[in-house]
Amino acid sequence: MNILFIEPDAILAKSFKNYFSKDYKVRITPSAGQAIDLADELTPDVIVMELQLKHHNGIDFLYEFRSYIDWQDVPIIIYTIVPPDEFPSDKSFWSKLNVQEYLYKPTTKLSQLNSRINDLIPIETT
Amino acid sequence: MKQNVASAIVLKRTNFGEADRIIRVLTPERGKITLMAKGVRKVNSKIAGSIELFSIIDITYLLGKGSIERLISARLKKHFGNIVKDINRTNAGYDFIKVIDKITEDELDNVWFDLLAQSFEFLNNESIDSNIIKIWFYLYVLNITGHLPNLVTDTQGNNFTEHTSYNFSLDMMSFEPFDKGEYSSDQIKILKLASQYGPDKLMNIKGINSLGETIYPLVLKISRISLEL
Amino acid sequence: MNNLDVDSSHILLKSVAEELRLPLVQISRLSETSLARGGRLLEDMKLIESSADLALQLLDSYILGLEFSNKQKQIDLSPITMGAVLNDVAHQIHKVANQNNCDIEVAIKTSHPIMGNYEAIKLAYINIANSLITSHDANDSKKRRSITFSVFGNGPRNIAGVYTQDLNISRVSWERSLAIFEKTRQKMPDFTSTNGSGFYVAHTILEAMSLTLVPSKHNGLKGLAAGFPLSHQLQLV
Repeated sequence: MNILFIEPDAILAKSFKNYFSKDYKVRITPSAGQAIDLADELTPDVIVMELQLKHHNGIDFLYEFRSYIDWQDVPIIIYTIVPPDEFPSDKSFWSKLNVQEYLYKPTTKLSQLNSRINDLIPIETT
Repeated sequence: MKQNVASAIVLKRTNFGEADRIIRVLTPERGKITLMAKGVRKVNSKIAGSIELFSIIDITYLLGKGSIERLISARLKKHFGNIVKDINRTNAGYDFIKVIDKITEDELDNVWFDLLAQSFEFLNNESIDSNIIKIWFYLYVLNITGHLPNLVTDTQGNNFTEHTSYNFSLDMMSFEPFDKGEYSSDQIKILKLASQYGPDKLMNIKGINSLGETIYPLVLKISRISLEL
Repeated sequence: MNNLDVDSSHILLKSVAEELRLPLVQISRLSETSLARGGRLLEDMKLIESSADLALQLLDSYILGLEFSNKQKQIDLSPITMGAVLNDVAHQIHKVANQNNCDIEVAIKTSHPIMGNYEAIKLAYINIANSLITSHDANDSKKRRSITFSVFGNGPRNIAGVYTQDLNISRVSWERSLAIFEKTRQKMPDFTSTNGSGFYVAHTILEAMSLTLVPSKHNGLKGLAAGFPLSHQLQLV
């Protein structure tokens, strides 16, 4: 399974790589623009993304990413330092952008993030 | 074949095939039109950079056989680049586009183009609080569509008084006096001003930022119900 | 009755909360990663230590900024040299810089004394340096950046600044960022993905001492600097 992280902070990016690369193929980019390019090279199975980015923020990325028909069903987890109460409280706001989960970094451990990622892995049937 | 020209604001882009995009734009004269932009995702496309969101563009197009016209050229007239620098402004911008896209299903009036252009102008101005812009936008839409709540008198027909608190009645689309109500006459006054003046003028009001934070949820609730968003 | 004015204390307090989130999240996630990897890896421990130190420095500078802006603290001035201050800052910030693939250089061209508050100025420059360092894109490991602490003479003043290769900010953009500070989450999104609050805190501390932080160019680098008036009495001593 390949995960694409959009993470601008160098230290957190290192942390994600150390934690997740034993189980997954991990690619990390700090920018929304580069994320589109990386997704073009290889469609990710899951995207885990920060909303607060340089130049173009995560909301802009979400709308752009979802405008590609091929990518409308790629699961996206938001893992961000932006408090959830800065957005409308009803879930329909995020579900319209097909965001699976909004996780707040200060209160969500990597083990919990890993659990959520695992939940999104399609079950293989034989 | 006759070429048509228009000013346009991009409402939606959908990537199509290897190199094309289908774009829905809003124009003052014809309302919403859907265009096929061929080859724009190729690196050397001349019009690729022009069809950005949060921009006003000049387009030239040919009438298509079905409901999709063919885009020949696009020139960026004005790009509101500050909008995507801030999460709240980006969100507001996309919300405004969604609202106008929905409303213009049935309505053909250049007021919507002007409203969207003006909204982008305000969002692009970082000195104007994005909550205030959102309040102004939704009240404007409510006003044009005939859904503006009563901001002149309370449910009993009386003027709002300073030491009375109020709750908002969704049934009556009006404020009713209520012991320990949610809203003060100051907040209602701001709503009334916001329905009359642009957010740039409202920013001169002392304490407008904190007032805006408290009344925006109400404005959004009223809009969702009245406009069926 | 609600206080409807958003005064500078409130803004600073909000800046504290916003800016401290990141180092504290770093500490927490690094600790978790370290434990998941079976214990106390030296590399992880170093990262945790530097994040914790940074958080503590930020906290001190914000409290100082708050006290100054509320005029709760009198600013005591004494003869200092900016070279000593910036050497101290470079020493304090080098671990954070290293963790962020950033080298530190120090270029002190003058040691003329000025009247200033050593601790306050040091905290202001720690904030500027930290904000510049953390604006560095993650994962850009091929490209090692550097920040340069410079002090040089300019007529009746010493200019002390923190410079880097790519801080492309004009005076107009800088003033605009300060003006919109409480109105927007990201103050300098063209430059950094962080809130940019550190720059505002530095500005507030220096402003309390009647100093102005402005964009500056020096030796082909760009950065932020303040001008410190020379004290003629000190020069005669």
